[in-house]
Amino acid sequence: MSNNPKKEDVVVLGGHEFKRVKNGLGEAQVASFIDELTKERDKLAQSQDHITSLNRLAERTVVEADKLAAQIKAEAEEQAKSEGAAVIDKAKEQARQMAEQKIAEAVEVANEKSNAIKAKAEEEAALLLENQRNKIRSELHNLVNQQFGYMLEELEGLKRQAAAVQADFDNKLSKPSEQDSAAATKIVEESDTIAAKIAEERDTAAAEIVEQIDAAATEAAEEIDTAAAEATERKDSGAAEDAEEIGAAAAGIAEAIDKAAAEAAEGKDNGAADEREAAAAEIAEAIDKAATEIAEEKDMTAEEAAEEIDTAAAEFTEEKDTGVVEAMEARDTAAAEIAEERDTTVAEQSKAPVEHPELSQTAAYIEKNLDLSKLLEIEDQAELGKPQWEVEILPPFNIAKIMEVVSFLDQLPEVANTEMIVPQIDMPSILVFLRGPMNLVDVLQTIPAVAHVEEVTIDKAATNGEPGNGPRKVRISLSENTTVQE
Amino acid sequence: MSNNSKKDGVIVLGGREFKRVKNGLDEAQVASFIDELTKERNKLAQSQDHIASLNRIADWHSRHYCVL
Repeated sequence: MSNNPKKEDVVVLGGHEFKRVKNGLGEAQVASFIDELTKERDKLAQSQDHITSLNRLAERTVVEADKLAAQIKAEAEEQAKSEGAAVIDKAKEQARQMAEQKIAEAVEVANEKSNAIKAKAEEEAALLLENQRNKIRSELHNLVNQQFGYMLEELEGLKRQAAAVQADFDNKLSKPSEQDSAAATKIVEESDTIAAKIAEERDTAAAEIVEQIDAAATEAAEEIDTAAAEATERKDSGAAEDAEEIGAAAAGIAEAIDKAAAEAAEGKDNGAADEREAAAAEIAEAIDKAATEIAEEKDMTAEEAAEEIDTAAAEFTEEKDTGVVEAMEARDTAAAEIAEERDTTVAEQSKAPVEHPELSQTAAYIEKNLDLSKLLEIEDQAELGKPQWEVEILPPFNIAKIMEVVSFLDQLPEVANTEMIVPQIDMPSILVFLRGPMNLVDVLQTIPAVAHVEEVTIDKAATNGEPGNGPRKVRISLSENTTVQE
Repeated sequence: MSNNSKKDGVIVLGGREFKRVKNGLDEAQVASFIDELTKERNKLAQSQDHIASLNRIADWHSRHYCVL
């Protein structure tokens, strides 16, 4: 590189002029060194230019990379949005299915429990009504039987008084007839007094019976109301439990929805979260609506059951009132008939004091008075059916002895009832209704008033060999020391 | 930069020995020019070293991070 255009005293080396001096540096050495330095500098300068071009290239590459990164980012955001929407839709669908399934299960469980509670309440109500009906029927039956016993006792007293009156008549037969009218008047007064007393006692007993029936009816109504209240309470309790289960199911559904929303929320924006919250609120509203409908349905079921129980209780009370009224009417009718018959008998006796008192009159009186038992034991007669024994009484007759036999038979536990039949022509007889098996022949032989007992065998030829459907017959004769009556 | 150590008939410029001759080049001018060239060379060499360091950093970065 020793480009040296020579002049005098001037040397050019590397484009630079150097002066020649007297004692200077060697030109060749300086030229070589300068050439070496110049080459190194040019080489480094050339490398620097290359790096500069690379820098420009790198800058353009960075700009393009920024554009590409922005494009990729936009594409990634778009893809993330579409995938997020798909995940949200899937989560919504899953949440909706879970909510529907939970609601269906809750409704099914609530319906099953409601039906079970309703059926149980109806069964208990029916059982309670049946028990109360049986209880009231039994109480009425006992009261009627008790009253009938009282009336039978009064009737016995009346019979004894009638026997005493008859004895007085017998004693007075031998006295002058002037005293008959006075005695008849006295007898009428005594009979009226006795009749008034009996009527008063009967009215008192009837009032007590009515009071007891009313008390029993009140107690039964209170028990029915208590049972209805308990049934309603059980239904309300069952509805509350179902509501709690529905609330628990709704809480589970909400939790599942929150969980699904939390999973879907990863990598998604706030707009998707709002949409999920709206969907969750919608599902929760549907759950609340279903729970409200279930609760209303249960309330309606409870009201219907309570209404049915009230209706049954009202019918039961009405039935009891009807039975009480009928019993009171029957009792009043019987009392009126007894009073009327007594007046009639006393009047007839007072009109004909001279004549002998007929056995048929007294027997008819007894027979008509015994009609009271038919009135008061309508239900019992329906249950008794046909008599098992028929006791025929052979003459001579004695009313006191006959009544003694009847009273003895009535006191036996095996005997359900007795009926006195006094025909006008034939001999009187006693029909005996039994509750259980009993040998009446042996029993009759133990009665002091009975002198002789004979069972009448039925002629099989008359019944074509059949044992017959009628009662077994027994003939008895009364013991002596009796007042023989025709 | 004219690190000139003088001996008898020999002078050192830029780390190299030059002989004194008659009717030779002016020592001051030669020293100034050599100093100028040496500075330019050193400056370019320093820049080259800087670029090499950046390349090493870029290589290390590319090995440790996946850039685009």
